[in-house]
Amino acid sequence: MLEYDSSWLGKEFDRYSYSVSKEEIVAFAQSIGDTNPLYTDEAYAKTTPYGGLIAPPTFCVVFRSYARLPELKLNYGKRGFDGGKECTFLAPIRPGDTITGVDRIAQVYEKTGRSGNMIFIVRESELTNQRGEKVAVVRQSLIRRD
Amino acid sequence: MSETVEYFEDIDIGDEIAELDICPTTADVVRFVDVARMQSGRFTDDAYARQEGLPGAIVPGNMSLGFLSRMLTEFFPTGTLKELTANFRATVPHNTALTCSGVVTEKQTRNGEHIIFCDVMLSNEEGERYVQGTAQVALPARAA
Repeated sequence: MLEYDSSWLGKEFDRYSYSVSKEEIVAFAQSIGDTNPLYTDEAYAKTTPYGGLIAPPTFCVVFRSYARLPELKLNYGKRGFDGGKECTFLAPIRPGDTITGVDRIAQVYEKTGRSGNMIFIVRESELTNQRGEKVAVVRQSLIRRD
Repeated sequence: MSETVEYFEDIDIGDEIAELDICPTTADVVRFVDVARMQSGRFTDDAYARQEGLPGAIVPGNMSLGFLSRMLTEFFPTGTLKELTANFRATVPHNTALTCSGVVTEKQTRNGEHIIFCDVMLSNEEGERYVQGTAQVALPARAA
C-alpha cells in the first residue's frame, strides 16, 4: 500500500530558463536525422506559413531541470527508471526565444504489475516563451520499485 | 498507402504510416545527448551502464521520442503534431536496426481542427516493441 507526502502535489518545485539559438535547433534536428528544411534552412522556412525557422516538436525535451524531485517520503521504491513521456505541443519554438520551465509533481499512484508493485511519479514541466505563450507541456512518468 | 499524406480526407482509420528505419550508432547517441543536455554514462558508456544494472549503454527515451516525431512529421508534411506519448517498455540498445511505425486509429474534427489519432511504436527486426505510444496530428482539410 503506497504511502507518501502528498503536500508536494501540484506545487512548483523548480523554475529554469534557457535561450534558444538557431544552431541548437539545427543540431537537434541533425541529431535525430531530421532533414526537414523547416528546421534547418532559414530561407526555406521563411516561405512557409511559419514565416521562419522553428524547432522540431520534441526539441522541448532539451529544457531540462537539474533539480532533484522533492522528498516524497515514499514507503518503498528504492530503484527508479524513466517509464515514458507525454508531450503536448502548443506553439512553435523559434530561435531567439527564451523558454521558462516550471516543474510540478502532477500525480503519484501505484500499479501492480507482473514484477510486483510499482510507484508512478508524474513530473509535469510547463514550458512558456518570453511572450507568455505556453509552448509545450511535458509529463514524465518516473517508475520506482524495490 | 502513399509515402506522405497532406489532407485529412486522404487518410482513413486503419491506414498505416510510412515506416522510418533507423540504426542509431554510439556516435549518434553521443551527439544526441550532447545536444539534448542528457550527459550520463548510461547512454554512452557500456561499463557505467552495466554498473547501473543495464545490459550496456542505451538509446535515451527522448531520442526514441524524436524518431517517432520525425516519422510523423515526414509522413504528414502539412500537419502539426499536437501530442505524442510514449511508454518506454524496454531499453533500446545502440547499433540495432529499428523501425518506427504507426497506424491511424481515429479521425475527429473538433473546434475547427481536423485531427488524426495514431498508435505509434518503435521495434526491432524481430518485432520486439521497445516503445509504444500514441500521437495526434492536425491536418488541413480539402473542403476548408
